[in-house]
Amino acid sequence: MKNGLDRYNKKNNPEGGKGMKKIEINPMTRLEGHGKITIFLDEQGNVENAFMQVVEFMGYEKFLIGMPIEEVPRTVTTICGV
Amino acid sequence: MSKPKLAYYLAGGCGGCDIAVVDLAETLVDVALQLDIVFWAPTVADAKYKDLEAMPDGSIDVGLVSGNVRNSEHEHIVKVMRQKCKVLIAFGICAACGGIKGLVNLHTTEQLLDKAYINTFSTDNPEKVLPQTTVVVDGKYELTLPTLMDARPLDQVVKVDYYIGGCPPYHEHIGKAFMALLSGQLPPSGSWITMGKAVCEVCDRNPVLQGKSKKFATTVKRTIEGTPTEGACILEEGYLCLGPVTQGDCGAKCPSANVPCRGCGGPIPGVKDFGLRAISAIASMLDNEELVEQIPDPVHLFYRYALPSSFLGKRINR
Repeated sequence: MKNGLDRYNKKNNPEGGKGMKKIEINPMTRLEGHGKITIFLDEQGNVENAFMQVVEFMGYEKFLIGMPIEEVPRTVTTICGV
Repeated sequence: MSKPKLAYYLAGGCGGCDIAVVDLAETLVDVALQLDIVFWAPTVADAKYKDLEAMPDGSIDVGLVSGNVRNSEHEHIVKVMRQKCKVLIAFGICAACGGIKGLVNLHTTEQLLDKAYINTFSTDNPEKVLPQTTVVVDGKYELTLPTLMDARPLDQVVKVDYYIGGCPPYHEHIGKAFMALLSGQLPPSGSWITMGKAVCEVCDRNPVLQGKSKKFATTVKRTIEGTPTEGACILEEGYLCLGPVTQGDCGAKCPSANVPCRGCGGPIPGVKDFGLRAISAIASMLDNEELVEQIPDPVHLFYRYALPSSFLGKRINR
């Protein structure tokens, strides 16, 4: 795992440099919906912390209000079409 | 000769258009063998945004974008797609007209976030935390999110060469479009790729196709108030159906399942504003003016798939 990240880090941050490094994997692939992974490495190149973010927001909770109930099932299928 | 290169980007969509491509089944095998897929994110291939940005400008023959442009990340990547692709196609109704997700333009970002993150029945958020474009966790881990914007169809952000309607596009139609693309038999730039007929023109229930004339609707009914008579025109019976103004590349699939058309195919040729044309078409098929008052929830009906591309565009809050 560490070696793999080191290689990735060298490729994406050829300068190297001291201090914490940040790797962004954007987008997460082979899924529907947009996600991003951010990995923070310490000075030794070990993973210090990692975050997964869902970068999208839709708003169905609001814009469905007022829609006839029988129309809702065929509308909310577009929250995720996979 | 090398294979044509294809890139596919899902912006503010649901992935249904991607699945519709997979629904090509055997046709997909024929099509895929003739194409070199260089980018298909986030759903199918593993290339990242950085990889797309690193490709030479104009190096991709065909780019498909599904989903509308809803945040700063979508906006950035569709601009990159435009630079890299010789031909750019708005694939599916979200990219072409805004889609269901374009209904967000009925509200401000603050109203949408407030409902989703604070005032929903099932939400427990006493500190009223909302998504931020930048946040620093534990004082040292800086994380970012794209900026939310009003939903826009693709052509309000970059030049679009072709449009394909549908939510999602019907798989047989995609097959025909891909074949036309590969053989270079395409209409002039800026056109919709469509057979050019309305849903009504391909609908078995259309009385005109049975040698009869179309009658005015004398009532307006919701589908929970009854069931359309088998084989009869749905619109004549008062269930508002947008078949007259919608592209029928789907083969009238919804009416054939006793469900009124809602316009996902996009406007019939020559129509710019789908919602406006739909209002005019339905109004002209009602027996009397009083019936207009009975149309439930007109904005979600007439503008369901095409609010961002309409002349209205969005609700202006004053």
